[in-house]
Amino acid sequence: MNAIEIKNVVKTYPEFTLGPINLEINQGEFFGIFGPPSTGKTSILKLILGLIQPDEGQVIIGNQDANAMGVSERGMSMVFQNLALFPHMTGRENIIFPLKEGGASDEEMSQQLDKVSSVLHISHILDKNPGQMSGGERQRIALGRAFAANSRAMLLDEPIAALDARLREEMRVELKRLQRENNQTFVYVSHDEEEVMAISDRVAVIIDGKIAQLGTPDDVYSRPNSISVAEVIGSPPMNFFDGQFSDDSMFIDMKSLGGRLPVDGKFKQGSKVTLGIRPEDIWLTQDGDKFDFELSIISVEPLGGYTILNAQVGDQIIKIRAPGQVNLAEGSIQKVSFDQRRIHLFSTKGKRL
Amino acid sequence: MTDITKQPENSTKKQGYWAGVARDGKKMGFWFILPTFLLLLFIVIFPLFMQLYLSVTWWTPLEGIPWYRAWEVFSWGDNYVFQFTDERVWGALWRTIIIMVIAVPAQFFLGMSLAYLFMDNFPGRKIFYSLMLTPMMIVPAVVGLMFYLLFQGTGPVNAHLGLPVTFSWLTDVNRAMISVIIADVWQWTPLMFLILLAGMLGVPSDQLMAAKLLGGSNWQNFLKIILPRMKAVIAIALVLRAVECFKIFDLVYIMTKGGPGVQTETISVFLYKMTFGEFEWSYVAALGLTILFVLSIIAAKGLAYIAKKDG
Amino acid sequence: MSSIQINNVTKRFGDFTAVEDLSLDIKEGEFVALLGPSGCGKTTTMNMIAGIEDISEGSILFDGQDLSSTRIQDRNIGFVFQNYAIFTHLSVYKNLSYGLEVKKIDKSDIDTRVRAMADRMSITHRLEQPASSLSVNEMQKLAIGRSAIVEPRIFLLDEPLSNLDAGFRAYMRAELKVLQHEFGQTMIYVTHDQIEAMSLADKIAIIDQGKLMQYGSPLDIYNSPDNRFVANFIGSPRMNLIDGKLREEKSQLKLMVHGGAEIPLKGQVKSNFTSDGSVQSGSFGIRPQDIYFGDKRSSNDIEMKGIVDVLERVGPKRIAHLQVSETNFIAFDDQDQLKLGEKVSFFLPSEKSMAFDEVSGRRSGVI
Repeated sequence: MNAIEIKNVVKTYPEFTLGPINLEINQGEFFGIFGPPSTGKTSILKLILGLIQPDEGQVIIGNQDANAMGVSERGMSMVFQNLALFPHMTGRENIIFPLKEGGASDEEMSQQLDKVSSVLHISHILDKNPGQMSGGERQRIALGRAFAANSRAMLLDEPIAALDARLREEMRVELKRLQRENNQTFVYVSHDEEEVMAISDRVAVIIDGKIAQLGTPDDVYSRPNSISVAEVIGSPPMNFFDGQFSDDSMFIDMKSLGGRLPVDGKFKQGSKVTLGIRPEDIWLTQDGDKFDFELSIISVEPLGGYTILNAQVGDQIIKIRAPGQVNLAEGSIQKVSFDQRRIHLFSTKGKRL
Repeated sequence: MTDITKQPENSTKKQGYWAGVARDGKKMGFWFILPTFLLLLFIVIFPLFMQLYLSVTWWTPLEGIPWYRAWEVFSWGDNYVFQFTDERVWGALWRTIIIMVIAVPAQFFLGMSLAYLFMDNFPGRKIFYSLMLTPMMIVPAVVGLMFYLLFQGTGPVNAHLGLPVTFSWLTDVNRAMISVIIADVWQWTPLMFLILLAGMLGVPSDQLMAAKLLGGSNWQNFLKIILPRMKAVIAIALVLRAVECFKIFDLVYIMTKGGPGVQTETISVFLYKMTFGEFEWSYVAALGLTILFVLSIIAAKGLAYIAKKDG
Repeated sequence: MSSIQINNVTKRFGDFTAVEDLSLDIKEGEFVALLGPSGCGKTTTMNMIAGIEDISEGSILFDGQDLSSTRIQDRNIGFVFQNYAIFTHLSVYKNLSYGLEVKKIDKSDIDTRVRAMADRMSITHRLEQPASSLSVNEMQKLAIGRSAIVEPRIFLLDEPLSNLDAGFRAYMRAELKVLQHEFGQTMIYVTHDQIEAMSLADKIAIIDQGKLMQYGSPLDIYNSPDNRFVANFIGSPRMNLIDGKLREEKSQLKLMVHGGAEIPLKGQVKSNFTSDGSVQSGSFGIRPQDIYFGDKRSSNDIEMKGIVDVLERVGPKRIAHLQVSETNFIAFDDQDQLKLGEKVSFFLPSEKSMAFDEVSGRRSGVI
């Protein structure tokens, strides 16, 4: 059952055109929207909320055309990027504000307040003013306000972007838990792909104003359907190499790497291809590897649980993610191979083969 | 958890014109401005047209006819033509410009120097700040009286400078101008100071710090970072004060009455005398409009420059 | 290039102590990260090094010299602000040349050096344009270039990558490392992101509430955290830290966790907890990658039972949150086998587990 549907929506801006966008968001789903900054992600939220109207197409909420509904009638809560807390009210007053405006009873309000403050651990700051709270505390009050309203769906616009790295990791788990416990529909916008991929049930990747790929995080990560999607998902990003199918299409000639990679499948003989391989799928050559090449190590980033190696082949920089703590000298030459099962092949137009 | 398929209960669409206005920002703006606009119309626009009307007649209150029948003494553009040949007009204009050209830059440089001193915190800053602002809070007429008394031959200025009682400030042909200029600078430097300090404080402090870290001395940073960023503020301050200074009246009239003779007669003083001394109201009307026209051009040029800067 | 010695530095703002008795020895040419949560005093420390803030107590020596009486202008310190502080009213060229112009260097020399730096930072095509028209990424490069061009003795960077989008941040991390090698300057880098600190720095100084928690190389700090704070802060994903009281039950030492869970203590971690006899309450630490599923590998490994509460996909890995009573353990689902709501057994190898004293936070069982 669709909670929110966006049908063929187009919105034209001076710098770019958003759309046509087609989305179906299910009830109780944690739906993530990811894309580079300023490409229309926030606009999609605004279209759902009703702050802006589409130039073409429809926004359908609960099987009803939302064009006739004003913002307050759509029953959405929104957490803004800059939080937009009322500075002259305490945390408590901020949270119960939507309920008060909606005419809820005192009992209802205190019930919601209790529920929300225990889940978000904000009981101790309810009497403070936003000016006296830390960034993390303000964030949680903003979330509390949106939650307490008990609306149809929550729209979140980069709600934890302003927090410290550590706090962000903790908060996103909390958000996921909250969403699940309340079985609420979440539409979550972020330009941090790791964040969006970690907590969404499904992700829409927006590039140049259009949906480049829509699917579960696993789908988008393991089977990106184009180079533009592959290069924005994954940190460090995917490595790309140019190659050409051999005449019998059993191998790819990798000129820059000086070798031939055996491939499975039906491909156009002699055609050019771009090969993508993720940093974690490159390893030091072992026995039985059918393809290997040499590179020199430029720098080593020890991250504790894993290590990122910046290496070079000719002019190209390659990033490798190795498990554990690897001790390789800078400047050393190493032989590496690809995990054959995890290569991604893209045509010259950038589409997945 | 609310079922998303149900319409929220309290969704009603208010009808009617005023509800539509509440929704549309532009319409709301129109209705809010209307009362003020009507007031403006009455106080400013109507008298302006009245003045225009009178300026093309020979009418004075001594004619014996009420003003709205001034058409009976129509004069076309004769008043305007006469302005250009009136020596007294040119003289007044010249003197006004001299005062403006000396006083405004003087205030500007003094104000800028003081603002620079006040940029960084120092003990007692708040107290000095309040003291600095007092001159411009005094009614100009009172300032005029104050300097009138100060600059008397027998007054404190001469006494402190050890000058003889016969050394006159206000009745000497050259020194009268200087006295007026001094008074004006004294009164209005604080305004320059205020505006320029605000402009200075608007310069992002981290950019200034970055400039210091790069090795820029305080003077170099002032010239290259602070000053260029103050262009709009400087333009405002200069245009504001220049236009006001052009109209200078209170100080002059009280200190010297435009004298000795007409040696310190500024345009405003001249207009005053024409109006209440000789009752040449239609001539004054024409002259007034001409000055308005000239000043408007100057102000418009200045404002255009500022608008361009703000982007 | 300069070495920096921070000696027992304290900074107070009225009643509030921002930095307390901080001592650090930074060698010439080293890349040191000041790492800590917001408000911990790391930026204040850096401001004191730069001379932007006065020192309340203690001293900072540069190559043995105390510069506190030298004007900021004369210290020759490169500083990149968090918001870059680009001179927005000037062109990119003028931004780069500012530091050279104020030294009254010859115009043609300036031109050569500006163009070389612009080329190095890949912004040559923007030289004549107003600096305000640059994208955030380009502004950051300009900020670095502007400071680097005057060849300062040390380079201070205040959270320089925090405004950038994730993709560009990864690129700039690698760039910064290369730049630091090229310029060879002593670099001090303030950040709250431990991944950045780990990947860039030669040494990391972890600061919490104005105090130094640990100072060492990234891997030293990761493998041997001195205290609970460091253990919690370093590592992606973070270490599991379970707090509880120690209780002896039928000759079995257990950690009774607040909220109901119990962790039986064996082997190495048991002796760690008991090495300092006075420890009564403590924190049990185990990194997510050390938790395993399936069959028990060693008799000293601790078996726990829990429910799969949340599954997160982080990059190539899946992270499982396992709920035991009211406590959560984070582990890696390497086989991609776990399902939400499933009851599982998992193992905590005692050799890899760490013990921390709950009161002092220090790691127990370390000599």
